[in-house]
Amino acid sequence: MAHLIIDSDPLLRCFVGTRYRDLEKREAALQQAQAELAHVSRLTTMGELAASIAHEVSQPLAGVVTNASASLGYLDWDTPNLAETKKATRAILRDANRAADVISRLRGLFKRARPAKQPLNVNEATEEVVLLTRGEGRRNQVAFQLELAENLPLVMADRVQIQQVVMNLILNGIQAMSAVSDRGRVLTVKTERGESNKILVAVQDCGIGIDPGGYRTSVCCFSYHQTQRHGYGAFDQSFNC
Amino acid sequence: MSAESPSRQSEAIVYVVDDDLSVREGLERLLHAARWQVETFASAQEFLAHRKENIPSCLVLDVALPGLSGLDLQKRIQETNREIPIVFITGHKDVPTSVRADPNPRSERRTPNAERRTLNAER
Repeated sequence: MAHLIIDSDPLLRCFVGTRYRDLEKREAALQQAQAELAHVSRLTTMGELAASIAHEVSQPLAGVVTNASASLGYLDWDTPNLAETKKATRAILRDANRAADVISRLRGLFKRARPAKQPLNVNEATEEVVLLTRGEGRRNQVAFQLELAENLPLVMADRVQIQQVVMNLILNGIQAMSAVSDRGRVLTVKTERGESNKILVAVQDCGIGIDPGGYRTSVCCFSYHQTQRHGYGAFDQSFNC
Repeated sequence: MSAESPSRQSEAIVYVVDDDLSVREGLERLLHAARWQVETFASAQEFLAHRKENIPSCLVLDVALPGLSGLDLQKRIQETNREIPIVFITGHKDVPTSVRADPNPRSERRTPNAERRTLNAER
């Protein structure tokens, strides 16, 4: 139900949910999407993200360890500092939940389930991907900026597929900025309501344009669309608004 | 942190720069529990903008900060001729290489879950 055309212009890579009326067109788009998605998935090896995801788990765990150590320290004071111990214990709870949250989201993102369309909150799905790719951004000194539109309607879509596409757009954006050193590397992830029942998810970077030596690897998987001005992946969506 | 903290090192301050809230707060508490005076910053820019007291201090610095990195910040500090020992911390196993390459002999590496015992031992 989707075709994905990714832009060569690093300023804007986005995909749009939309409704097709033509069934044949829909089936052709589905086949194309499946082929491209398989391609994209192969390219996005788990290994590429493994370090970042491990980091996303290890950060809250570091919080757990330091807060637990701090609690022991506070209890060792001549007059045990119970107020601070309590705060540290609350932080342990928060951080442990954060680590568990990352793991449960990860499980959802990479499970090999049959594609299933369900009412989907696009903002939630996008935020989850940002959570999992933030570490990769950090590693590349990329700051994420989230601009999520409020009150978006739910869409009927397969969560895992959408998230895999958004993830690839984000990773491409991060790579596109790897040679940027004269300005801050900012990756903007936006959701917004487009025209005629469309929800737009845009991933915008401030990369350096097409530099064959610079980020060839990030665009090669989509290279046959490089002449397009903008990139859209159009998902067939029914809106429950 | 609470005003009742009896600081054994009242004339010294530990600055912590880490963009991750869990790590930053955890380190702040850990150091505070070990009775250090602590100030935390979420970014290198925030640290640079802060007016530092002219008292003995050290910097606990995350290597992989978004924007201005920990190593960039180290360079900026060196340019100002300010003497401040830096303890680098990192959650990325691949980053220490770049720190190791750094000629500054005062730099040390730690992972964020440094233990209280260590902190006490180093005083």
